[in-house]
Amino acid sequence: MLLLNGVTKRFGKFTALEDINLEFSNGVYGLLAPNGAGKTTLIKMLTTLIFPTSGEILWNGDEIVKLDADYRDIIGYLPQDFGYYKNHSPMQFLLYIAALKGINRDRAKRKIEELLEVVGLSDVSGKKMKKFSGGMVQRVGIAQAMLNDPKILILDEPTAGLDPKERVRFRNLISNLSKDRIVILSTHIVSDIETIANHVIMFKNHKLFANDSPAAICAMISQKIFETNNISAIEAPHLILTERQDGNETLTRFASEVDCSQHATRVNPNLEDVFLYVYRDEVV
Amino acid sequence: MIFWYELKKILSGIALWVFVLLCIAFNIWSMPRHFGGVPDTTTPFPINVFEGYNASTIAEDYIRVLRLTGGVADGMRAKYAALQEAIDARAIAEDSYSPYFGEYSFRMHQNLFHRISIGGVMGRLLLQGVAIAVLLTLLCLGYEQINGTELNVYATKTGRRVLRHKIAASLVAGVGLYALLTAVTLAVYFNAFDYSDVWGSSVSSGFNFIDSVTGARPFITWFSFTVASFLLAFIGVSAWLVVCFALMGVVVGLFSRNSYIAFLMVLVVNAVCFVLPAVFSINSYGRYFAFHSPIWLWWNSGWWFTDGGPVTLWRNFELWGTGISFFVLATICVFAVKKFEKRDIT
Repeated sequence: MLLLNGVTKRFGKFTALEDINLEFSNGVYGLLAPNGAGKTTLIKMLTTLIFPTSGEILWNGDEIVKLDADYRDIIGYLPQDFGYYKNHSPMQFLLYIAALKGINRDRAKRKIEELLEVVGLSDVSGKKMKKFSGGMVQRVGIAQAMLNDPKILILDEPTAGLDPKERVRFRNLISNLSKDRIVILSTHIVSDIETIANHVIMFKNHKLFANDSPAAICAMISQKIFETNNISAIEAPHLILTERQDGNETLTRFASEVDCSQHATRVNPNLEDVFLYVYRDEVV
Repeated sequence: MIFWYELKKILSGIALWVFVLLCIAFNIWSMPRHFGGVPDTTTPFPINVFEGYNASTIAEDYIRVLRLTGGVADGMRAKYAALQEAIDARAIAEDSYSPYFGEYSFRMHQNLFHRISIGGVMGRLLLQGVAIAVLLTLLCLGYEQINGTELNVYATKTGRRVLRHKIAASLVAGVGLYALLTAVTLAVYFNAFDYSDVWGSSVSSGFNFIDSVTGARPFITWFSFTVASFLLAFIGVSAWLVVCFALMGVVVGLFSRNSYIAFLMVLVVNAVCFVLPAVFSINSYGRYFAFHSPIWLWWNSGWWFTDGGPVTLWRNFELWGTGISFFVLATICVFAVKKFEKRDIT
């Protein structure tokens, strides 16, 4: 079990995260927050790339900074901007990462072949990565994260820059990899989390705002979400969430603290509504 | 295993090999081609120049010409008092009679061993070796930053300890390429100049001499050197100096993660070290300590293994200089690595 006790991270006078308490056991955790909310800071602390200013992060009761290499041995990490050597083939690059992960060459070769098959890159395992698409590079990224069969898989914005087809493929891949391990998935793309996460973690004002199942998170704003084709008729204070075309009409989805069911249809909230509602700039 | 990966990464750059080839081409193009006559490698020098030679006259000449006073003057006297033992040993060994290259000895010795400003092949090789070692070190340390792979590399089991492999690979590559440059350049040099008859000659032959501000005097070394052993010792100290400069690259490279800025910083550090002796008065010990920095050791490579003339108050200044430089830089390097292991990778 991975535990965060009162973790705060400051960069000079700027507080990136404050007093975060979290508990991770097997399952997929979605970190949902806008850019700059502290998702990457948390992930970098979980990967020992940066260190908490105060508080502690424990893996099975031991502090991860003290566990050092033993802790990093059980994590797999795909950074937000996954870097790679453009003149290396996936096989060469993954062999290097495997060496850094302490995997001997023979075992690494077998594991790499297996993972390249899983991520659908077997046929280009010897090709230089400089000609790869963003999706192919991300798949190499997933493969390097999975090389050591990690107990904790940490993925920072893994679907950013992927086309819809690649994104779906990626989600399926993560779903398949999520058995018997902790998967921490950071994203501001709500649909990714909605599809695969069992738990949603949200930050607001650099503090933990919510940590619950998607359904429970959505329940936070139940009764507050409406749809109408005549938004100008809504006089109560409201927050416009989304607009979509429905035949010849524009359906406006909005949130309001006031019951607007006389002029609009109450609908069930989804995570996107929660995201837009929680991180709203201001109410109209 | 990781060491070999790091070595392969830094040695696989085409620009590096282009630079090495350009250095070799320049060395071959710029080296002298012939003696300008036929050297006599059999006739001994007629007298034993070391017999009855008084080292204190050298000390007093320097003290007079450089206007040394106080502790520095005493230090200069003490150094030459110690050199008297070496002179007496050379006299007993009759090194002076060695033919070396006869009347060409001084010029040939300068060609090969004198500092770069006088066109010494070894001084030039050392400069090229140092440049390559520093560039390789900075490339190796900055490799992950350049490729954007810092986060995935430092989050692995090895983590930031990969630096130890990187540093080892940089040092090995730096020294290895210095050795390669030296081997190729010297192979061409010795093909042009036949040394087969003089390898066993003493560099302290009466035909060879030191030309200093106080005038010419015998080529006195602290230890007895043949031409071959002098060359090997010179290459050995050069390799250590290459390591020292590479360690300087490590320290600066860990301080600044941008390789280009780090290279500029290395240049600035060495420029500061180069002007440092001028900051002190001629009678300050600080001036003589400053002459033992790596950049000055390279600049004064023509004095190596000799008394060191006016640039040092101590015997074997090249060994002490490289030794202390290595110790200081290695210590700073260990602290820099420890600090890096605790630093946030943002």
